[in-house]
Amino acid sequence: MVTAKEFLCRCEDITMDDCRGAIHEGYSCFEDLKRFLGVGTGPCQGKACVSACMRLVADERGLPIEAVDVMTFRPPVRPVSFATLAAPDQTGDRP
Amino acid sequence: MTGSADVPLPLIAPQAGPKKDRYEVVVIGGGAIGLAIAYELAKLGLTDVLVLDKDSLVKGATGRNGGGVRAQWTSTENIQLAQRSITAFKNFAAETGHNSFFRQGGYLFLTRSEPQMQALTKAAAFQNTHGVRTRVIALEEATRIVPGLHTGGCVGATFNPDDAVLFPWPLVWGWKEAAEKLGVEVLTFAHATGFEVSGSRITAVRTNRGTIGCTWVVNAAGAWSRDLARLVGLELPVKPERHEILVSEPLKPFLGPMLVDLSNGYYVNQDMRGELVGGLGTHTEESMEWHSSLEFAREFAKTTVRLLPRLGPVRVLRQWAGSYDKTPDAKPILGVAETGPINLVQANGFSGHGMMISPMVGRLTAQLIAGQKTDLDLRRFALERFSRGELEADPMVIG
Repeated sequence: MVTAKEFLCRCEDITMDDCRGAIHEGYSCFEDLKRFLGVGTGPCQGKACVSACMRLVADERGLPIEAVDVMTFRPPVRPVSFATLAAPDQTGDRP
Repeated sequence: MTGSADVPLPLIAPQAGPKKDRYEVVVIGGGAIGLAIAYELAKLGLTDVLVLDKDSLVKGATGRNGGGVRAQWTSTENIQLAQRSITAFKNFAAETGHNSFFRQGGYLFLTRSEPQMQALTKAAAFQNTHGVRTRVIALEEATRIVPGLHTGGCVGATFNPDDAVLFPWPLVWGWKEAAEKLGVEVLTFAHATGFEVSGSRITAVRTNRGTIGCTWVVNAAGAWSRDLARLVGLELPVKPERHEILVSEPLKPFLGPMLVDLSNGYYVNQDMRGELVGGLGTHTEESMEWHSSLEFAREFAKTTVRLLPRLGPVRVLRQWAGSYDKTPDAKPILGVAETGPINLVQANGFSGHGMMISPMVGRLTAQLIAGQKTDLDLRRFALERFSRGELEADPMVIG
């Protein structure tokens, strides 16, 4: 069902085949794939690709999904502009 | 000292342990420094090398820094390490087959203080004597180099066009693969938990993946290097110092140099992915706890819109933190300490500029272990300088 052209991470233009190839080259945990391919480092910050990538690692390595590591989700939850962050702090209007 | 049973091996880790029970050199720490050392050792023909990392690779400072590479320093040793490393980075892609996104857009320092401007002017003249092409520039020229730059409140600037930025992640993969091709082994999820010592020598490294005999041990453990040295009773004046950093959404290329505002240690560059990457010299503390703070993001944003108002709408994608391995004079500790085992080599204490000098540190450390004359005199980086009081801090530490 998965084809060579199927995208895993649209932000960084990474296909399922790119990721599968990297796993077999030895980039065999999620944190490696993030730092080698850039999975999860684009504008969505992993919201669209993390689960699919973990599943791929689990399937390719024959591990239960619970054993697969996941990247650290970091702030901000959604992108925030420099202008918003630089605005004076106001009660009820925290950036 | 913890026993090996305390550190279980996660299923996601490569399950195979080291191929042998003894190596000529065991390097502890698989960051830019440790892997550069392993690669340079192999290039000198010493391929019986094992690199240990306690986690997957690129989890320490090499994976967390802003990618700056510069020769604008005020001490001979820092300048020489940086200059020769810049040359090595130029050859990195050809040597390893990995693109480090190395880009020489220069470093532009802005100051808001007259005394600091005098110091920068003196530093530029000193750098010129070493062949670094730093120039004191007028603020109008700074605005030409960085379009849209607001220099209100600044008194002057220096610019070295040969300084650079790179993307640190591929450095690790490039050196790892290049070293492995020459016969080096790299083992991840491998904690050093203790040492076996006989007389004045370490005979083996105890790890969660077995006890590994060795002729040489290298402490390239970055922010963990003090704790590692304590396992053999050696005290290093290295403190983990937490720093924060962030990255924006990608933009079309517009920012040539690494831009630095010395008033708060602000630095920002545009990497080859188009993202702005930057940090501050404030909001630091002695810590190995790497939370991100809103206070940091706000000060970074305020400085950004003050210097580059048109970046207001640009959005921050991600913040993170990491720890420098900070020494009292912000210079590294290299070589064998007189008070420690005679086969334990230090390569730590880089104080926020280890990645940028890693090629040269790799070469010097490899030369030392191979019994060759080192390209630079390592005594200037000896641990003993701290007890002798021979400290001369380099004030050009930023971020």
